[in-house]
Amino acid sequence: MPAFGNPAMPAVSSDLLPPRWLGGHRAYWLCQLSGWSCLLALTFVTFATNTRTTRPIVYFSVVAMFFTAAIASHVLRALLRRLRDRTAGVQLFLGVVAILAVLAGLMGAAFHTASLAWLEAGDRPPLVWLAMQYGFLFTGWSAVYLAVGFYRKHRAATVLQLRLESSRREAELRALKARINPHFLFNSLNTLRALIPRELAKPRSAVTMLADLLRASLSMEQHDLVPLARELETVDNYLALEQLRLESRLRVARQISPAALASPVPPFLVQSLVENAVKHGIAPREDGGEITIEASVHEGTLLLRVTNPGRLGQIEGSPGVGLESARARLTHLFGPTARLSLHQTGPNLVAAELTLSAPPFNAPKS
Amino acid sequence: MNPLRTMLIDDERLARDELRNLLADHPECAIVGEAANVTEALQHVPRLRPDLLFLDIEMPGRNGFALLEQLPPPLPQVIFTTAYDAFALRAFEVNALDYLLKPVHPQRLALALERLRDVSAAAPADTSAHLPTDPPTLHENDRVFVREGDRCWFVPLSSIRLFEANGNHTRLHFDDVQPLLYRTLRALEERLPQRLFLRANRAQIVNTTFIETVQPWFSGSLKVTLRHGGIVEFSRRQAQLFRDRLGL
Repeated sequence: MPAFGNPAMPAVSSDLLPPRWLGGHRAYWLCQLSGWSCLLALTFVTFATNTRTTRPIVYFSVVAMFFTAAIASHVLRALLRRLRDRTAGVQLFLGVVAILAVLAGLMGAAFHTASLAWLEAGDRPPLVWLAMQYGFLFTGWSAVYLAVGFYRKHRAATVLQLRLESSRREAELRALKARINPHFLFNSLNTLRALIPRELAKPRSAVTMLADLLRASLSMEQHDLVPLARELETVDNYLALEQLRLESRLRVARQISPAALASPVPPFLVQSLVENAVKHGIAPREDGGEITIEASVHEGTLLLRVTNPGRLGQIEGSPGVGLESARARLTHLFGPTARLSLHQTGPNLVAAELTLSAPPFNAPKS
Repeated sequence: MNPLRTMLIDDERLARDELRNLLADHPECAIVGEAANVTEALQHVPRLRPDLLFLDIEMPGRNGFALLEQLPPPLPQVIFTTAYDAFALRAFEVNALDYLLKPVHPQRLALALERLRDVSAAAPADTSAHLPTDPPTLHENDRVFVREGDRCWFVPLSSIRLFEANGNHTRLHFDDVQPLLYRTLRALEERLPQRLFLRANRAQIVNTTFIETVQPWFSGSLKVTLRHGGIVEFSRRQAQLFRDRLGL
């Protein structure tokens, strides 16, 4: 497999490529060997039927010349690769023509000189004729070589494109599934069942909150961005339901600046940060703990922070996946200035910090 | 029939209340206590000696499996309760433990209790296990809970062919697996029914019902092969005990 030196071409992981032997140039060597052998065999047949001379020296020299031509084609390959990796378009075309002309001239001259020794004057082809033959041969060789190279490059790019596309879809699907955590959903329903025989007001309001939460998650498709105020309603519904389950183990403090309420945020992003805080900061602790949600705006930049008890690096499972997909979503909507990071902010405090500074360049669909 | 002494272990108070509501229809279950996490359960279970645990899998700190690993045998019957737990469901593919999905269907609960009755009818519990000897000797139908990776087993003592010391733990050999039990061999030996188990040497205890062949070995020791695999060497002293028992 030729190495593609074009810097714009991203690296293709090796599992896309066919098994490598002969240093990954298997196809090249197979083509070289079979191509030149066929041509040699063809020439022998032609010689045996058409030529007046039958001296062994003729056959020997034909083999020698083919050997030289094969080696020359290998040199040609090195030159073509170098040229292809550094130039493009007209420059590449002119370069290839120049290389072919020089190579054909050299080979023609070599054959002509060598043939002085063993051919009759009448059989000796003119130098120009020989050079043209070699030119034709090497042009064909180069055309096949370059075409195969460009085809492979194109195919690898297509595979990479498909792979990117499928990983994007996978992330979307995962996000879709993760939005309402089934553990949360079924535990909430169990809590409702437990509440019903004892009182009426609490389970009734819990059903409404759960309905709102499910509705919000279903309508997420329709909006790329929602005002923070609306996202906080989702968060409040979620936390109220978690508090029914976790009772005094879950304590919540909010410091939301009114100026921040209109800031646009991706729906369920803050909710996912709060859910993570519950999952990693509250649920594993027998005594529970406090979650703090802070939001403020400074010079048009939204600063949002969700703090929970805990230590970074003690998290089980794969927390990186959720964080990565949230980051990808933010970059898509807000550009590269959007920040989302986890920090150890105290001996037993972990904070997720969100900074949304650039005005969204993708207008909300709402 | 004596009521089943039942304990509810779940970190959510309302989830425990809900189980209480459901169990009100099953007077054969007498709820003797509750625990909200593994720490509490480890205090109360050995003291209350329940016959049956309703055990939540996801709990703060340590989960329900960790509790079973740490409880001293004999283990009570266990019905797991879980809201949604792929891990738990996978674990149960290998053995016949029951679990209930929350919110619990009353019919499903009735079925689980029925199955439990069938199991205890098939293998009547040894009453001597409940005599106030401390620590009580285990019965051959008593089970231990072991876990290895994603798989877990609730294995009756009678199907374990070999106990092998492994540091502070003990490796159990049964079927085609050898998971670790978080107890020392010495602590286990005191509790194992002597009718069934015999110490072969410093590091191994064998189930005598699994012994296939016995061969005299060097300087008064014995070489014993076990059904389903395993060769154990009885030390001279233990070999003598073994001969005495067999009346050789």
